[in-house]
Amino acid sequence: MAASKSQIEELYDFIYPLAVRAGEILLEGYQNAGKAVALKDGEFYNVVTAYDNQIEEFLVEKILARYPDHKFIGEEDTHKNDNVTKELTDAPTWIIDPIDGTSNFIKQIPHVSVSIGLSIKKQIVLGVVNNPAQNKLYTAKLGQGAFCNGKPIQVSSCEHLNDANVAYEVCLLHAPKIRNKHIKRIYHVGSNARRLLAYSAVVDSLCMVAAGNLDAFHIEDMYPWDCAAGYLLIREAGGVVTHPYGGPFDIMKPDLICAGTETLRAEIEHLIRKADQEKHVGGE
Amino acid sequence: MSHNVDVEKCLEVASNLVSEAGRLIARNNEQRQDFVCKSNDIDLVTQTDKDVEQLLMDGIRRHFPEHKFIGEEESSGAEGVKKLTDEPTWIIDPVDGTMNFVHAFPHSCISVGLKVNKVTELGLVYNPILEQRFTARRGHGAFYNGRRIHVSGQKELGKALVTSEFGTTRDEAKMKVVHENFEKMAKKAHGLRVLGSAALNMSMVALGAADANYEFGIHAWDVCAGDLIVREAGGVVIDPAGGEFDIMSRRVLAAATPELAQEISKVLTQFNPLPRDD
Repeated sequence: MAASKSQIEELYDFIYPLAVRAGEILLEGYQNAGKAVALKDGEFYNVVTAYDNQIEEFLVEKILARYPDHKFIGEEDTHKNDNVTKELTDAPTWIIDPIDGTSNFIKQIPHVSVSIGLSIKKQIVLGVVNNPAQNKLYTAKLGQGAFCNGKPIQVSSCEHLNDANVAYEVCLLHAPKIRNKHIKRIYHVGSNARRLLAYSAVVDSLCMVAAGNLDAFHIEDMYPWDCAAGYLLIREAGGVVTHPYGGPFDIMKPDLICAGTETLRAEIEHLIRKADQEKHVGGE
Repeated sequence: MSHNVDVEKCLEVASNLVSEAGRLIARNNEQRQDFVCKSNDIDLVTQTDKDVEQLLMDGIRRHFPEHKFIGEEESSGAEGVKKLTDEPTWIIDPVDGTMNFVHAFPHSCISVGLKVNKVTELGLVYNPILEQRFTARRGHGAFYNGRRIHVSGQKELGKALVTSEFGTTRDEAKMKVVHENFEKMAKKAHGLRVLGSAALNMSMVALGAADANYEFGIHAWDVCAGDLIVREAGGVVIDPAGGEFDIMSRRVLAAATPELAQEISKVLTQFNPLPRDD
């Protein structure tokens, strides 16, 4: 049996104030980061990790105090588990990214978010994302719509890539093994889109699709905590989310195309398939 | 004859007009759903662009009736882009990142620059959606929401965050160059961002939030204000090939340091957008 509506409501009422507080902690770190002008490279990661850990520990502690049998899947949580992501079970499982957009965090680029998704019986039933730098708190409960600061949000109605603002996740280009794949895809999507954008912030990009600020977003080779909450927000805002080749979205291997319309999503899928057939940009 | 201008007065007038324009954009933004029902997004963008530019130009003319203008909407008229002379000339982009505006996108801005005797005296970039206001006067420093700002000081490309744009042209030759440079930067730079607005990309360099910005295909109104803001924040603005910046060339490279600028210019594949703005 799926999660009941009253169960979802109870868990939403529980997590909402915690997401607000987590956003306050994140904002404190974001604002302090700008003051540490002379940060050495090593210290950069120490600062981010400290806030990452503080936010995750705050959330986990509060959740376990109330729901001791709940499970967690998260970036810091996975790190503590020798970098092995736990298997998703039927148990209520919080999928948390304490700070998405860490390199934006240190640079004070306002695309930073706390992302909290909840899965029950392997279905995402809650999504809450707080971007305190932009004063935006996104929320969605399964079957009950998507909201930003309490107001309903809706995806855009854009149907043609030629008219579309599309985001891509460029941090992937750093990994040599997957760089060429993404370079080819960026070329084909970017050459056909009205505008290609890149924020190095998966969670925020997903929220912007949900809110209709972006028409589409494509990502592959990222993690469940990057996508769990954003996925539900987009679905509840009326958008489509699929695997890049059109199949069902899988939260534990969250490669995706998301878009305001199926027509736009299909066009992007077509270009991704085309890019993947080529060995290099512009040729076989 | 050299022209003399009260730049302080100009900045005050421009700041007030830009705030008023920001409120106009916010009002139009709230009406977005109505516009989408009545017409397509392009019409809304065009009308807002024109409304904002008209507001700015009318306001400036009331205070400085003899000043000249170069602006995106003005330049799209039958006369084409105007020649830059020694006369005080306002170079305006009413909504940089226009397509972004329709979507209530966070990175849209108003960009206003003032040139006197062909020298940029004043630069103002305002993002009403995120309430980001960048200002600079020649010789007086650069400011962000009233706070003095400085570039990052980064000298190494391998540690630099670089902003650029994919561009909005369908020209295949340009697309290939844009993509080639994107791939080069992906390998060599620490990080890439594509925010959707040339003026804000440059302003982020001034703020130290990004370390460099390059683009081929921009116009004078995209970069006039950003150029001064970057330089007054201690950064450099040069031609992407490494030479002197030419505002009418439609090419720009801004960086936190001369070392970083030169390193990037050596990496970039060059492209010469035509026609020039002059």
